[in-house]
Amino acid sequence: MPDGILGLAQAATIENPWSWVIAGYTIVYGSMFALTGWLWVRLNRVRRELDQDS
Amino acid sequence: MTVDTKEAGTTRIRKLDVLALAGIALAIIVAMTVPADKLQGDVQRLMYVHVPSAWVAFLAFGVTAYASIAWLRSSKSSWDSIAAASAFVGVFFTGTALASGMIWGKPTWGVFWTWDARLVSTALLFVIYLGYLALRRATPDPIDRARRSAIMGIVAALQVAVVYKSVDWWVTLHQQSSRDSIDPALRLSLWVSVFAFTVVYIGLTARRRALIEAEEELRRRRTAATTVAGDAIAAPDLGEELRA
Repeated sequence: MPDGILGLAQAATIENPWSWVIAGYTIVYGSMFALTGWLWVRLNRVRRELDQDS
Repeated sequence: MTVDTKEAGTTRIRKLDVLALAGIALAIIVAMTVPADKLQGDVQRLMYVHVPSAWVAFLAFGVTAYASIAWLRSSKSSWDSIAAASAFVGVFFTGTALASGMIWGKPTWGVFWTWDARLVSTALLFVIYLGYLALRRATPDPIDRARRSAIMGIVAALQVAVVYKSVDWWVTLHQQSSRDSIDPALRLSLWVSVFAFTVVYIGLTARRRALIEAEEELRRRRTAATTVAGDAIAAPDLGEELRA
């Protein structure tokens, strides 16, 4: 959040703020789901290898 | 890891996934419907992903430091895997805090990045914990790895305090804490997001920890198998014949 003259001046002229909001949410939540998926795939693969070894 | 504990762990992670999904859905709905900030308008809604990311990163590195101390006191491998898993997830959330902060900075400050104390100290935090993860990868022996990373996990936590206090210690473009001055409706939305992100953190850490322990078990089994096979085909000791 802006806390000075520069910030307030910028905030007053923000064009299309939703594009920034959507970009931020997509990156944060998208990477969260991607990381969960990656961990899920890797964990299943390693567990399968463990099962095959035993 | 026995079959029972593995299945119990998987069930627990699945329950956390469901809770995290519900939390994220609620957080997005609340964040999109709460009134916009008077000064910044709708772009302020980025606060509901930026602040929880930073909060969870601090929590993650705090857990790493605690688990590191616990490992040094007990030498239990479970503390080492908790420390490693939490640091991994902490690095991820530091990355999302930096990314969302840059996206918020461009429309409000006019730049994606500036050499501000809060931004630079956070970037340094990110690099320090990447170093922690690199140190773990570079140390093959489990005991050495646990000891070295435990010491680093404790020392690196000091940087969390530097990041937190950076807005008080230096003159920065980044705002100071608005915990007490924030509007109640915005605060409620922020807490919903913080709750959702915390559940996601717990789920990711549990899954990462399970992966670390499974990989360690696989490595142990393969090392044992290689040693047995290696012993079986080892060349005979020709020392005496050569000396004769």
